[in-house]
Amino acid sequence: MATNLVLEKVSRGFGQLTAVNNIDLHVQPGEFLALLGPSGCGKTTMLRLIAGFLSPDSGRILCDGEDITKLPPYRRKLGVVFQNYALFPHMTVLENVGYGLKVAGVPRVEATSRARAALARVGLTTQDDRFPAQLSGGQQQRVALARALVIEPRLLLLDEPLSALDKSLREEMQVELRQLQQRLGITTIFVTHDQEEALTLSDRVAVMRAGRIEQLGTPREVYDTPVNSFVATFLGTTNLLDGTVAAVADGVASVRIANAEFPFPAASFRPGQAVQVTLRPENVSLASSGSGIAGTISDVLFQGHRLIVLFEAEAGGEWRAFCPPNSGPWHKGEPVWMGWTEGAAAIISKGDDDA
Amino acid sequence: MIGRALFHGFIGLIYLFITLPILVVLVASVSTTPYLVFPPKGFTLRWFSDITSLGDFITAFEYSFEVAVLATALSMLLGTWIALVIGRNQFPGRSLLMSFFLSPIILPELAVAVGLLQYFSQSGLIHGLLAVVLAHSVICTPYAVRTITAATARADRSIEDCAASLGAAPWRVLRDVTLPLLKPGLLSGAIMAFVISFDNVTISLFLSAPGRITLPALLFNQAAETGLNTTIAAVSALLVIFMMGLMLLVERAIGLEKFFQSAVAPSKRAA
Ligand SMILES: Nc1ncnc2c1ncn2[C@@H]1O[C@H](COP(=O)(O)OP(=O)(O)OP(=O)(O)O)[C@@H](O)[C@H]1O
Ligand SMILES: [Mg+2]
Repeated sequence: MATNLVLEKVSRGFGQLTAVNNIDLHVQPGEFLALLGPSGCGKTTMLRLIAGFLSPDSGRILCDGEDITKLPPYRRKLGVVFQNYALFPHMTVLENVGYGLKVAGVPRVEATSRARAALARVGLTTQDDRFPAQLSGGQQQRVALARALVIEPRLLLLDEPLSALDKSLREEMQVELRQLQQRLGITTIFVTHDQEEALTLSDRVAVMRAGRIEQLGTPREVYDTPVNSFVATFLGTTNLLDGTVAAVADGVASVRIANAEFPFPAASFRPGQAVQVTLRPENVSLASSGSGIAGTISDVLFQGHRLIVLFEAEAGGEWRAFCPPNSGPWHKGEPVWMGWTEGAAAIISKGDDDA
Repeated sequence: MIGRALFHGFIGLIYLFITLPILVVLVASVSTTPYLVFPPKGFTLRWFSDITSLGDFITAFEYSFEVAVLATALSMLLGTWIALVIGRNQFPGRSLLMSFFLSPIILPELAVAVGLLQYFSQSGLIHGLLAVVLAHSVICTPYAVRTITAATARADRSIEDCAASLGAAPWRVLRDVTLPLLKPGLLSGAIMAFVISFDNVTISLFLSAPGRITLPALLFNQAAETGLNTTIAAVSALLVIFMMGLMLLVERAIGLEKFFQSAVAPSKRAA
């Protein structure tokens, strides 16, 4: 039922700048894919290329095997929602939602009832005759979604649809959006620069930088085993530890960090190689005695749901740990030992990026 | 406090300075003297009733109106096209082309008039009403382009993109979305064009023929021949009233549009 989408070596530049650089991407039928990256990395450009508002300088875009690269946007049958909703200000809510059907020549009575059904699906039933300017941000967002869905699009393309909403409403809408997408089983591409949102909503995340996809994987993959320090730091706070490969045996690399050695499952390292390890603060375990990296607590910050313990290693470097609020107690100036359970940290080969 | 009062006083003086000539004309038009004096002597509406006897003025008014309506229509068509096609697309030489279309604003009107007269008389095909309408369009179109371009720059392109993604072919997007979004800009552009055409003397004078003369040109001719008489003041007074009435009508229409215009900007949370 659901549509798959393939991008083959798609590039698009603006003057000197290459906004989308030779992208290959396969989106599975029914998948919820997030395009995540910092401002200006080309997320919107990629979405506009898929929607057909822009044409690529090179490459092909295929929808269920059909080459749509040259197809104008009005023949693509894709649902689009923008950050500012882009509702038609001179049409009522019902007219907005019904527009796609009217254009397709659906008889008036049927169009109205289908538009009403789409509005009901997004939980907006009492605002039919209002104009967009009379609605709240959340309501406008729902209208935009209903308007895109009513034409039963092959794909749903969402460009930061929630970023104009305040935090609590945004979280509520995230859940609703996810449930709606699951219920309809529609292939969805969701642009965001909010890493938490991307991880929460999507089946897979494409982390972008400067027109390229740095890593594509499930939320767990990109979060737990980032391929480089850019992905590691973009997806939340992390500790980047410098180490050296001490020995490699049986697919296990023993890496020396500060004064301790830690095993990593790794294939392609040679002894003596400098590496970088990413360790999420929530995976750090602290102990007031024992083994691991020795150091001193330099500060303890209370955040309500957790503690941030700042830790200075004897061998140099300051790192942080997130601990449950009732753990410890930790005191500034106390000596501690830092470690992690195996598999909680991941190696990033050093020198493969400049972040 | 004093600074504010001074400031408001100053603004008031400027307004007075701008409107005084119009007030003088309005007031002087009721003078009992046949020549224009200020302050007026006595009070009479005779010169106004006199106008009706002067069929020339009525014919000229009708002609002016006809010219202004046609020139406005033509300028709006051209202006919308230029604003949408040239104003919105990037291509080499675009800004040069845009300056070319805007140039009649800064070129001396006299030069434009002489040039057009020469061109029309040599071509031989274009004369009478057509010549005047075309000539007026030359000077009205830039103003239409200016206002419509400003409106297109304000309008959110993603709204039109959405319409396209919903299946609307380009002409449908234009009809259903682009033009309604531009409506306030189109209306102000039309007002500009109409006023510029209706007020024009220079070009109308050059292109006038016996019995085919616009009202401002006729007034100018009469004043030049017989000096300022009170009939001219009365006609001018009526013109002022006509224009103000027209503006009020349009203002009411645009007032309604403001509601939509506010929504063209990325919509914020409304009450
Ligand atoms: N029409 C355009 N003309 C020129 N440059 C453009 C155009 N559209 C985008 N760009 C440039 O291309 C790059 C990528 O832009 P894009 O809008 O795709 O970024 P983004 O990832 O969506 O960023 P954001 O998170 O800020 O929305 C930016 O450097 C931007 O300035
Ligand atoms: Mg963007």
